[in-house]
Amino acid sequence: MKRTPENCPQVLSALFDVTDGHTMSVAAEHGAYSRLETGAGARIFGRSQFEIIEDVFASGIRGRGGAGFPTGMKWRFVPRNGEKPVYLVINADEGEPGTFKDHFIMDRDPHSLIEGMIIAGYALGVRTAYIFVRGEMLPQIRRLNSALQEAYEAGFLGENIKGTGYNLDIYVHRGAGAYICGEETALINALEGCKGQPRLKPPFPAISGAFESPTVVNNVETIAALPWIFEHGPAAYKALGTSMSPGTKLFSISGDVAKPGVYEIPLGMPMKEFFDLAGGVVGDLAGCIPGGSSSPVLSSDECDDATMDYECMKELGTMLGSGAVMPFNTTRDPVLMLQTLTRFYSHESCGQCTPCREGTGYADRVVDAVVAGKGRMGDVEFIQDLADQFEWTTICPLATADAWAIGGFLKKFRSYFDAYLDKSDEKDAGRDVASLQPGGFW
Amino acid sequence: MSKVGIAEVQPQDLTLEGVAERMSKHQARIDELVRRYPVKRATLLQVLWLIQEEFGWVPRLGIKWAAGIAEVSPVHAFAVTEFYTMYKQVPPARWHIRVCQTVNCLIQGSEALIAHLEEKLGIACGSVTEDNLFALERVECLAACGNGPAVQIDDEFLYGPEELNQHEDGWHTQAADVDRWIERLRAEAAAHPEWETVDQLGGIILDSLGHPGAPKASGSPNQETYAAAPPAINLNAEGANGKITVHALIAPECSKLVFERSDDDLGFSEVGAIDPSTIKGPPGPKTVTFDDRVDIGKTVYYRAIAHSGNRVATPSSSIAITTEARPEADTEYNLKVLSDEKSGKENGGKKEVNADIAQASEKTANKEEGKK
Amino acid sequence: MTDKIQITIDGEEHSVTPGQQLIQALWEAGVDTPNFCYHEDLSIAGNCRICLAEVEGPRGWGLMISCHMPIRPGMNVRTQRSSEKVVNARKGVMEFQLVNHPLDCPICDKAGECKLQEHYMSDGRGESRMRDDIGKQYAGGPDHQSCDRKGQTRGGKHIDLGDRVLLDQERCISCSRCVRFMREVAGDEQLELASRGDHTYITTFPGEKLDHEYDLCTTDVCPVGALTGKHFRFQQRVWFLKKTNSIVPDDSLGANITIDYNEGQREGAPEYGVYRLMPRRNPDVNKSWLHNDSRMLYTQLTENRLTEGLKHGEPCSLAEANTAMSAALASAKKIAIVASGHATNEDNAAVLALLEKLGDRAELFGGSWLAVGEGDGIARSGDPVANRRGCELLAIPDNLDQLCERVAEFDCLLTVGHDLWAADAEKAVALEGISERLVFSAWKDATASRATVAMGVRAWAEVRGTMVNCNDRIQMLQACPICPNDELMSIWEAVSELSGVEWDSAAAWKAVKARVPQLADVSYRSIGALGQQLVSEAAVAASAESAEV
Repeated sequence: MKRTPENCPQVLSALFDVTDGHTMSVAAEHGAYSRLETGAGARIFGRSQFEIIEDVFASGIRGRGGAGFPTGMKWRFVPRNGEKPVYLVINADEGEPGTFKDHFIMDRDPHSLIEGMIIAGYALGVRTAYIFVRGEMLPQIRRLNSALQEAYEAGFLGENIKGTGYNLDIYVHRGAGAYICGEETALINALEGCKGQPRLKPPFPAISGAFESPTVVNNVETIAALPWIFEHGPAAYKALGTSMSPGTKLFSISGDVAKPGVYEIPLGMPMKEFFDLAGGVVGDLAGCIPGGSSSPVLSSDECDDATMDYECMKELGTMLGSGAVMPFNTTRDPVLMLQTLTRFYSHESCGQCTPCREGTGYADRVVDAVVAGKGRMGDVEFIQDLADQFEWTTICPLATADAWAIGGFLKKFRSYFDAYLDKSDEKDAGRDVASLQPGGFW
Repeated sequence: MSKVGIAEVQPQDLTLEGVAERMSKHQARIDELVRRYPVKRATLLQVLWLIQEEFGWVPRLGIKWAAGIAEVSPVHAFAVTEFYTMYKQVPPARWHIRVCQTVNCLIQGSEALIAHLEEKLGIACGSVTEDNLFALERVECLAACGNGPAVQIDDEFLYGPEELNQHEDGWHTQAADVDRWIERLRAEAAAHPEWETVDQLGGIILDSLGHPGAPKASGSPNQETYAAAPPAINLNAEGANGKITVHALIAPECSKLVFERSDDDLGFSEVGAIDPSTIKGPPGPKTVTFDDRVDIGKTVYYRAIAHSGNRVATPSSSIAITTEARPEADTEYNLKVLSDEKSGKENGGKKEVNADIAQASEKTANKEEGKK
Repeated sequence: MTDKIQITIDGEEHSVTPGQQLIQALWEAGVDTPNFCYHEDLSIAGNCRICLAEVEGPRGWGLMISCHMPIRPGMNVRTQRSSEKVVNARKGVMEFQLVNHPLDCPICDKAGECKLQEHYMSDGRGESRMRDDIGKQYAGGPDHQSCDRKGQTRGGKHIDLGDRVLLDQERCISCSRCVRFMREVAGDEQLELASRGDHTYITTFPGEKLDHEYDLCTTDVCPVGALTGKHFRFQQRVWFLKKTNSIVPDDSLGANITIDYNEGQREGAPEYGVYRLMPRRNPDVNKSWLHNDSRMLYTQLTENRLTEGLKHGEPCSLAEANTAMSAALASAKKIAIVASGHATNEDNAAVLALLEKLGDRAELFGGSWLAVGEGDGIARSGDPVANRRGCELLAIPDNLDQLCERVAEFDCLLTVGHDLWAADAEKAVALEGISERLVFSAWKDATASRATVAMGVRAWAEVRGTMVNCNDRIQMLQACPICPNDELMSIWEAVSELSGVEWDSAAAWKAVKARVPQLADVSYRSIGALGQQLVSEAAVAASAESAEV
């Protein structure tokens, strides 16, 4: 399967279509672990931590989990005074609706992740690293564990790795079903055996994260790109993509396209070209969610000019997020789509902050009422107002993501909602009378 | 699955000792889990998985037992069990079919598939078939949208026509595929009435050295010296009229930076040292500048040697610079940095900064124009 | 004292104490800021989001929770007074708080002191936008959920959480205060918020009871009517209650409390009485906590009280008892007077005055036979003799055991507010060798019942006076106007009457001050509500020396 456009190097997807690419022997044929060679020309071992961190900084790679924070910057914050151990935690709690790229990496190229973790671990002074995998992905956990076993046997993990004196253990930690664990502090809580609820910041994990120690939480894709960066040099990576969004990125595309799947494209590629790479849109494009469910939806007009990078998406009032692209055609009902999203966020709210705990559920129930034909005039504004009330008022951005999803759909597909309200039996019902009757609630 | 009636389904004859006895066969994995984390609490989620593996679900005494292993309060363990959706708190069906209902799968036909399954199994979502073989549940995104509507049977993904977990790009789950699986599983149930357990931790390595300091762990921490001492990098120089400023980037742990100069790029001698702690700025790498004077028109070489405590890094690559006289404006200067052809020494050889020359002289020119 | 720092609130400069969170600074500056989850003596959870304020940062103005925003000099803040955004954000939070909260205020015991009510009035929307047809998501654990007649799933109501606490799961607003109290203060995590989203509910481990010496504090920290104490439930509407500041009399830490009482329409009306003791925040003593046993002390204010006199166990009037006592003292050859660590300094000063008046005929004894336990680091020192330190300062000896050995020397015993027989009956039996036993007591206790003459006095809640706690902090008891018999006197009044002087409150305090050099700079006013730390004896001596020089 063709996963990249012409002239784009396969930074991440090189092994995706290689039979048994997840095994050490096949991966090694394709260069896995070659970056870890020692002696003359060593790219990692034997160099200083500082140089490796600065190389990552120079590559310009940005976190691929959704927020797009520069990875090198994140690493620079980590104190290296040796007072407390530094932890590396890989965020493999992939659950943003529409995203399945990390699923692919763990399934088809786990060794790139492990090698990247060794590089990151070496640079950050990590003794123990964890891969937090979402609970639903047991097959991927099995893949990772067998890949880790191979890496231990080959001497890339454990103590005194390849005679360098560097020690690293990597453990897989299985989550148990909570989308919010994709938020880094919630993930740390889940790792520590607590409810996966985001923590107040500051302190940020780079200063005090897992086990009250400096912790770097990176996405699978970010780390899996490191071997390529150290193979070809940071400048080569930075030359890909755009100046502000260097490199390539995996995009998971699904929905109304002919060939859904994971594609690797340089950042900055026009969205339409990307659709064509994925076999083209099926039917007439109505809109597209460009970066996972949390990113506000784009109308088909906006899709025409959009390019796949952080900056353009920001200009359009949405975001690249985790790179989950969901085009949908004119036969789809945006109202039902929004209903699944509000349900998703209310189901996944951790229940900590009031606006998110109560608000996402309330907004969902109002959307349900609209879908069920019990909407009232003014409900669109009402839902939007509720969304505004839980946007940016919570510890983590989950409620904000819900607010954006709501805002995007209400704004760009307003007519669909109005059509529901027009058909509603109760469209003219008042808002306040029944609620004041005794026994209305209790 | 419905949670009402959880208290009633707890096995009456189960005791905490009974749980411990049943769990004793998993001791090797529990020991490994305890080794992995600096605090025992972190094992909680994993121990709960082991309980679910052993019992098929998580009875409340199992939660309590897990709390004992993880050294947390029982109510903490209970809250954790309630928080996550994958711990089953009622005795399960033999196979648990999860169908994703979130937005992509909706587009790709999840509602039709769910309706089909409800009819096929004769149950509503959230309930269990009468023969206790299948439970059907709507779930949120399974991160398998490319093959949507995403379906999971127990822990295995249905994303190919033949085998579970046999991934096929662009393949979409069809009702017929799920039907085939249901028939296959029914046949399996007829042939093998006993349930099989599946390793819920996915085959963890059982003999790791563990987290240094954790119970039963033998791992040792990293020595601070496993990596080379951090050198100064990104050396750069500019100057005119004999005044030269050298820049270098150093690591936060660097305690002293020594600048050395040479006329021939061979014999270097110290021309100054800087204590980075005097440089104010946010934590992280620091840019150090060093000012020097040389004769106009002379080519000199600089390099920097970073000290971190008592560790001395290898010298940075050297950089060559020739200052030119610019008599028309003493404060403004032109700069010309020579690239050294003899590069290829350690640390990647010489730094080239030719690109900056044009820019710098352009700036100078602009400023001069502005003055006039 | 640390220097104050300047911050700008709504365009006005305010100087506030550094090192605190913005919400505290706002309170200090007199800006009302609502809070649910924030509690000054618990860790910061930052989950209720009601205290949002606008703070200027490097990226412009942003809504921040003021409970997790350390103040720094020059900080620029906008509150509800100048920012529409803050007002709207709080309205939003209030609306969400109430979306799934039952509107059962009329039958809720917290009504009147419910933060939800308070902040709805100050920060809420006023007009409901609630959609009745949408229904609520009542939070409740699976073990207590039920379905009402309308088909609505309901959370658990009046769940018997433990011996002392009842839980209403529907009313919980998931602020996690009780969870944090049990985890951080009590050190015994028995409560947790289970499940997630709007299904979150508060629970103990299923089938287990909440049981801790401080578990009633969870009802104090609960901002709503989710956790209520069984002892106070449905006893009284809080708006009928008045409060008197005092300290607990059963521990030498002297936890600060308020005595919540209802004066009633008329004396003797059914609602007349003390209804509860509530911890009163004192960061230097008990923070916001109160031991369950101390909290239940109010019940003894009406039980078994000695409201008149007793002569050989037979009731008599207070005046008769007084006369009998005077006569007994006058005729006695050698009197043993036992001062008490349970009485106030004023009481003991009156005893000392009496001792001096009686001259050689009387000898002073003191101390206690009660066992001293370990402090719990929360609100108890473990020493049940509340004013032991005050006795030391008044130079009252600790020699009760000697008295037992020397009973033959005495023909009269006077005990003051001290139930010796209850403390150690085996030792106290020796004292029955003294023929005349005079007792001042608030209760018909073991000592009073063995007295030849006993006289009722006011109990600790009914007197004004001072005690010195185990950390040398002088604190005040205030008189709550609930007394079973208004004729009753404080111990110091009764004793001073016995010694023939008519003391008033000022004279009693003056007598205390005269005997204790450390109290030179102390007055009732300077003690105030939160007490005053005494300087050490050495420091007093040093300053006296320097004054001499």
